[in-house]
Amino acid sequence: MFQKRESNETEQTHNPQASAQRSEPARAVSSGKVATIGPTVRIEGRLEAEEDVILEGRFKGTVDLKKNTLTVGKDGSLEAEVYAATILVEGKVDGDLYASERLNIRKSARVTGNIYAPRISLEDGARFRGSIDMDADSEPFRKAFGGKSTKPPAEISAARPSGSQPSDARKAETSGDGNPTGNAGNKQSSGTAG
Amino acid sequence: MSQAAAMASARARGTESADHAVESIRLPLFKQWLTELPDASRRQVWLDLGRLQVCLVPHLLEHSARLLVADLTIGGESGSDQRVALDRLLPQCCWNEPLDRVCLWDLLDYLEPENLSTLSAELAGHAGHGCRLHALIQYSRADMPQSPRRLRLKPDGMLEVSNRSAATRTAPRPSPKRLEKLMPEFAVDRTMLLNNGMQEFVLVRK
Repeated sequence: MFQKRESNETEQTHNPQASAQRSEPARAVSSGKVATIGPTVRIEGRLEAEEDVILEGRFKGTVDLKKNTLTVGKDGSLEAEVYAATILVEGKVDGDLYASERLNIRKSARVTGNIYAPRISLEDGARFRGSIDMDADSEPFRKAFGGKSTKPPAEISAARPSGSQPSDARKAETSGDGNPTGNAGNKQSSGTAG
Repeated sequence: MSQAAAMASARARGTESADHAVESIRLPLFKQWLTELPDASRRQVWLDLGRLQVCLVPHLLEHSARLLVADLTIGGESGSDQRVALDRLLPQCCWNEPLDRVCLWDLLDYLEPENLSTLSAELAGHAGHGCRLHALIQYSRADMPQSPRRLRLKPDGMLEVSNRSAATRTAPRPSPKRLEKLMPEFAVDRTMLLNNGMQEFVLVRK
């Protein structure tokens, strides 16, 4: 059922542009041992491991890899609650994902569920339905990992809209980048822009 | 109908739209939303009824905001099919915190009036004090694409708009008053006419 192999692959980068340039399947590996659930394998139940797991088949239930990495491959299908240090999704997931360190959703991913992680990497093109929560003090996160993450504060690797930093945005507001009109109240107003 | 045939048909009807051109537009009011996020006070909850906008995520989460993504796909379905889609989707949203901002994108153009009112009532029931909605509505042209356009927020803050087909349909073009009648729980706060003929609307919870 499980194929074990030693892995020499390197850890995933947080840079989506760099990761998008790679053609080989992504693998996030945090320890030397990796267990692969092959594409013809279907499992229901609870999965616990002290090593990284790559899912290429189907799994339904609960995944507990709190010190390790779960990778859902492009052909992998997961219907489960997942608790892991790192979660990397390329395939289909239906369920809540809790990552104590980071979560990476690739462009081929289809995710329905809520995700909780202090660091999240998203690629354009990924389909997602659910909520994104990076607050390590949130109740679901604390319940999942028994306390605040030891990792640094929230970090995201997807690009942000320019001018959206508060300080930059205030500058943009006064530099004529768009000319919104109207009042902060309920009074209706209109304008034009282009 | 093939794409070429659809375009030819549209031309014959004189309803050819911007076809498959990809255009980028500025969204001044939306951009202002981003700048108005509080630095570190109460965390905000955003609901995006469209597809995941990757570029929106970093900014929101930097402010510890919570983002709900509905990925609601409404196209040329009948009103009853739309209602089914809404009834299936809305209960799935995590309503355990009041909403501060809702991104509707061009959804209002495609929802049947009765479903628009249903959505409005549902959102109002979960809206926090001062909750605001942002929408894009076809305004200048009498027609609009048959199916919702692909909207993608780019890193530079522009919105990339691309049509999926050349087929068009009549645009509802609701006036602010009409919109408030359809969405009685909200009032039009601001509008902004964009250079591609769409209009930004910001509505606020009454």
